[in-house]
Amino acid sequence: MHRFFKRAAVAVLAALAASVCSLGASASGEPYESYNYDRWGDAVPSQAGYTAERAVSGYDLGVGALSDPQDLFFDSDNVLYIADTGNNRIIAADSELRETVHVYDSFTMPDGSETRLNKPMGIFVSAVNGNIYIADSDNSRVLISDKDGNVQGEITKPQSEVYDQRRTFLPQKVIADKAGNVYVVLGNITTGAAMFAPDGSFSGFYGANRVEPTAAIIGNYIRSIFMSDEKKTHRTRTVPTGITGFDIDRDFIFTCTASGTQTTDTVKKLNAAGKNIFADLELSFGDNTPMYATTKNKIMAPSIVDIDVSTDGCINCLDFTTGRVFQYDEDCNLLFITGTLAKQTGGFDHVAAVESLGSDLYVLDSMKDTITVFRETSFGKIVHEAAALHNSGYYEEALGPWQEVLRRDGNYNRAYEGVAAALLRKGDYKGAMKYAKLADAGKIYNKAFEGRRREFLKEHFTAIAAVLALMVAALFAGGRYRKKHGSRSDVKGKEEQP
Amino acid sequence: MSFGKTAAAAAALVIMFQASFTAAGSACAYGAAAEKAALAEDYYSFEAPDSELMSFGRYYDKYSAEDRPDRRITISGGDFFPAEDGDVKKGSFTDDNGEKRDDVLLWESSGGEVSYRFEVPESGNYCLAADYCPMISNSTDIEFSMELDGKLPYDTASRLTLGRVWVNEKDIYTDMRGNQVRPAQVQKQLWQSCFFGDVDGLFSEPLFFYLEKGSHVLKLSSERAQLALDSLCFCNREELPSYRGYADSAGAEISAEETPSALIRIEGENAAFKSDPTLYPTFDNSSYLASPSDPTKMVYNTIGSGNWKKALQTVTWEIPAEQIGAGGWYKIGIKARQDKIRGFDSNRRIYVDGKVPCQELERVRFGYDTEWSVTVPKSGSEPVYIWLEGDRSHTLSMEAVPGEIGDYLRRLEDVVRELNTYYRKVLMITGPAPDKYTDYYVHEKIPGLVERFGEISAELKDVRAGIESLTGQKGTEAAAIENMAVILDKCTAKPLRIPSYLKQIKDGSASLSAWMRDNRDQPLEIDYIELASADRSFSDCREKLGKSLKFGFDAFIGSFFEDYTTLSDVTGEEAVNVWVALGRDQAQAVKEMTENQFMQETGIPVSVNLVTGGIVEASLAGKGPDAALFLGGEFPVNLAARDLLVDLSQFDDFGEVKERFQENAMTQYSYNGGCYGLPVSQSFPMMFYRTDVLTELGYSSPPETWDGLRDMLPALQRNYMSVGLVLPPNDISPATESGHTFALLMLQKGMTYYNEDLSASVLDSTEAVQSFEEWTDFYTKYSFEQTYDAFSRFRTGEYPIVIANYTFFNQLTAASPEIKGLWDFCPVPATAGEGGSLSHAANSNGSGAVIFKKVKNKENAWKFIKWFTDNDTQAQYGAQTEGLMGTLGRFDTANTEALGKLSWSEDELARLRAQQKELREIPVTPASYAVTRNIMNAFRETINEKQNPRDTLIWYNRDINDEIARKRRNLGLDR
Repeated sequence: MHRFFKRAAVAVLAALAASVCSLGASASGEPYESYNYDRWGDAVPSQAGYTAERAVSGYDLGVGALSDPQDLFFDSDNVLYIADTGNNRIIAADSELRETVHVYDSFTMPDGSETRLNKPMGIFVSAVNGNIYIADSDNSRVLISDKDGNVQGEITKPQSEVYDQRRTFLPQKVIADKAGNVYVVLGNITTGAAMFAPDGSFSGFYGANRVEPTAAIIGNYIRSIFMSDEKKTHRTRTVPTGITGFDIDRDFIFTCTASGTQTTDTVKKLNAAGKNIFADLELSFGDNTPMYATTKNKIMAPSIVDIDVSTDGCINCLDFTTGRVFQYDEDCNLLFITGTLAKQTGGFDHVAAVESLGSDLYVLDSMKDTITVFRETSFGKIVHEAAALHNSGYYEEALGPWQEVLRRDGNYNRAYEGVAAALLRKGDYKGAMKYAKLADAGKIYNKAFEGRRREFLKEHFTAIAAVLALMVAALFAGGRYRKKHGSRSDVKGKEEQP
Repeated sequence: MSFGKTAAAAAALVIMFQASFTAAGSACAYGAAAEKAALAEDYYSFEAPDSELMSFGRYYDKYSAEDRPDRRITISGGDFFPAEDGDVKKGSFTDDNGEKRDDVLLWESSGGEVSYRFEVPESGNYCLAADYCPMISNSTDIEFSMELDGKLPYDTASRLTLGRVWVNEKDIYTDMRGNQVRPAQVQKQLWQSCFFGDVDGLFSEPLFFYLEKGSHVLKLSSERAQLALDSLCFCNREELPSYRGYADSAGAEISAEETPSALIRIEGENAAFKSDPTLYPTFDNSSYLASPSDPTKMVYNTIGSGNWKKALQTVTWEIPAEQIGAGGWYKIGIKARQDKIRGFDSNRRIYVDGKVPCQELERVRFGYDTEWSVTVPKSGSEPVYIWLEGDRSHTLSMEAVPGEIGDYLRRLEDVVRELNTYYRKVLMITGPAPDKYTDYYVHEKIPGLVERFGEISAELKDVRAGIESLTGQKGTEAAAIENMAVILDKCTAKPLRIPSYLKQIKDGSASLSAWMRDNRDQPLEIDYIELASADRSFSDCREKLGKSLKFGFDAFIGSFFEDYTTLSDVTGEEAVNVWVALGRDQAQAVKEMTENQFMQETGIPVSVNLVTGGIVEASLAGKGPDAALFLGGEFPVNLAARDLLVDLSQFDDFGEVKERFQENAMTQYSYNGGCYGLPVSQSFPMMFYRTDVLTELGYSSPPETWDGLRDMLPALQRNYMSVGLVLPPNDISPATESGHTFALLMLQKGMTYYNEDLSASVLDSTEAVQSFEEWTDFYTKYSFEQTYDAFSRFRTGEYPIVIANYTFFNQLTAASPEIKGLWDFCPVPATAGEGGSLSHAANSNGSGAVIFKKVKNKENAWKFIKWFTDNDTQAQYGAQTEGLMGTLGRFDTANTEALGKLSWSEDELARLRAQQKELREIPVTPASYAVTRNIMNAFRETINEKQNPRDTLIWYNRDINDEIARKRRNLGLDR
């Protein structure tokens, strides 16, 4: 009876949630249906976590049209730097994107001479020393300047023998860590980002991807064991895809790789030693099943061109193929999918960079030459709150927000896991088992089952012990009886006859 | 270095009053330490060592071809420039033999510097000899850093070493039960003369310096001086005569055949002087062959076992005049054993009366053998006879010198250096974990890589062949070299696969380094030395079956009757029966001190027994002791919980006694409001760091906080280095290990594992969760290793920062001379509290003295443990154990004042005190075993299964609290 009510309640809730969800989706006014993935990895409609607020063009900033802009960066004072690549300049705008703070188109060298940029592809501003790092691609250098445009240093092609001198030096993206080491993604280098010590000397490559072990690669590898070196030199070389973009979050560097074919190491979290912390986890980024786009006659395999880590630890991955931002929490659970390929606001053509400030997302489109500002929805806020509490281990505190999430969107898979974990912590093993099953969370289920079993044994110990004692006594008595009345076979024979 | 004025004043007293001098010196050290401790930031900066400095090996290659002029440039010790701080002076000094020398340099403080100006008449290489007399001090040897014209000529010059003179305090004596007792080693002041040698054990020749013609300035600076310096002399060693030449020029009155028949035996353990306190008498009680021997009793019959292996260590024996008679020619038979390094010779230089008589005695080889054998120095096939003049005593000295292997070791050193360079270059391309499917083509990117690997491999094979010809056998001795060559050959054969061999190259070069370190040792154990006239042969030392069987049988029978645990003969009802869990030597020292001091002063009989382990079982069975010393870990609390121990806080003067210890030291002995033990030993963690490595990485100070440490990680880890933190071993102790990272983090946040009344854990608090996350992050996010060999990683510089018990200092000092002066230690990293105040809090570990309830007279037992833990007794016991075992045996006393009286330098002591002040303890409870174990379970689950740290800790905390509640119910603490 009791159970029936519970079930009914859940059904009603789910129905309600579903209706709210569809309402939410239609109400947001985005040029796309927002969706998420359920426990089987299938796409299901979901509430949007972000809503596109406006698109900002160069005219809005009062600097004329942007041309093929490639990178965005918010510094610690919330000033947004835009690498206006085609116009060979860097634009600094205020956080509201209402006006321009500064336009950098020429810099003063230490000897007093002027220097100009040539296709700046990447921009970074250090929070430690306030310097601007510019990947000045066609000038084959990384320019380090203070905020007044005085050049502090220049990194050019390393003379080290370890750097293949036949290769050009085309900086695409640049970051610096708090110790002042500079990391540069290079256009045609696949062995990771070039790493430079604070004094500008080359100190090696950092964070190379692994080669995806496809059948062909493994076959090649096995063949190469038996191959002579001479033969090997004529063979095509197996090299991984180079990294495309990166971001730094305290002590960790996140890299992403835009490749339609590679799924290994598309997103990495690297520690100082260069070890990928995500390597042992089985993770995938972007859409689960690449769609076949009939209009373009191609498979829309994800190609993550830029990555951004927000202050609360969420990882935003920008997929070029679909024009979507996939947002993950710090443990790589998918939170939201935002954006699409479309003409309207909230849709993109050629996405180039993603950046976040507080709870807002900024996406740069190099074809539309605009920056689109996304604001967090109220649903997004609750999910973020719940995920943040959950990830820092505050399961019980996250229970309320998770339940609120489920009230609004019964398809939101992650919330079931959150509720299960919270109930487990509370000692409600039965409830935890139920939710863990819904979320397909085996580990939580195991723990809850273990707890429930212990509880059961504790509750019914007297009964179980009594039954056991009775059984033992019965066996013992039976044995005595048989001994008295002849051998076992006799007894058996007699029993079987009637 | 600055010097306390008091030190100089104390030094101004007449040196002959040694006792008063040392006392004054250490008292002053204590005062200075307290003053220094106020400037905590002092520990967080160091002077950068010069990384460009040449090694002596390089210097040798560069200059060894230069002339060696036959000139002597003598610098009188008294002719130094007036040093500014005026802590050295000119005067006369009389040694313990009454030999007085005038106008010598009196360097009475441990630190300071002096300079000399001298003229060189002819350019060339000169060795440096010193005539000096060590003064009584608290360091084992004298160390200098020598600059020529304001510059260190090579790195070894920064750690020039002169030996002090160590003697047995008294002869080996026998206790009441017939067991021999090892005497402590004490210093003596005697004039010495010697060349400065290579402490690294690669060159058997003395060090040399290339000096241009003209005027030069020499500066000696030291932190371990305390000597009287008569003179320094730049000169070269005289060419040693051949045996023939020596025999002709000895001035003998009679020939070898005319020498009266004699066989003189000098027992090794009775050595007169030793250059190192670790050259104490040792024993081999396993066979009748050692002289003397006894099947059942403890006999000290050898010298050097396990300790006589470092270059420059010298042992001197006296040949008494009465045994030589009118003089004569004697051959030398040395009964010795080298059973430590398989296949290698151990080498000794033999001096007679302070001089090497002939070339044949320059380097005497002792081959590898697991049995005793007699080695006779020979010239051709003839034994070497030495001339001993009659009617006076002579000395015979043996100095450990590197063998021919030194040359090979030098070549290997270059190989390892080069391999490491290439290793780093390859890593620059591949990163630390190369992907096996990626084609890196490193051999194309690094020019000459394959060719050079081939050459190195050939060089290694050459060295291996050389070593095999030395040892006369093929196989395991040079396995490390062989392995490295094989790996390099594989790399040259298949250059594409070099990245996959990276780890092996690294491991290979690490094991090469280890091999080089171990094989420069020259271990030797000596039983006795015999001097025989031509007509006598040496005593046979081949084993005879009958005698061997008899010895074994006697030992077997004896084992039924011999009481191995009782040390003293004190018995009777009134006697306090004390168990000590220690090594035999230390237990013996406790016993002696008890009998000679405590029993004399109080008249209370105390019986000291050596029992290790089983104290709980014995006590529960009613057969336990009345009191126990050195009982540590969770035992005091567990015994107290079972109502077996006397609550010490009931004694009237307990409050007073408590003052001897660090304020929180009682925590580990407290249970349910009572206090059940007095701390005896207490060791706490310190952070050790390599100044040379950190300098190379661009740091001028070790990290002061955990944040600082984390900030250093990129630089360290990029260079494939890491940091060593304390992680409990697999058998987790209920008492928290000292320096346990989680404990440090908790204590620094002002927490322990428990709430105020110890009725529940506080592991679900915000601070605990935060600490746990910080702790696990080191392993999950920063890829720290869970197990590592701190000592060897620190030596190689792979772990330039290691947190370890402060006794790690002793190990480093005693066993890693090659990094002398390149490391230091300071308090553990701190956590910043509110308002930016730093807490360096750490927990300690130790052992204590307890009294059992079954004792007849509580007051007597109390008096005993009070006496044992008081300042003077602890200081004396510390001095005793250090005398017995050298620096390695330095005692980690819990008595704060006594710590200042051990042989720590002022600076070291100040650093120790800074940490000691901030010690906080994690209480021990009867449920502790579940607490520490579950914390480790949570840790492992977080690391190995990548679980959420907070959730895991809280999950296990439930089990912890269940267990605490259960224990408390069982013990009646809660209803």
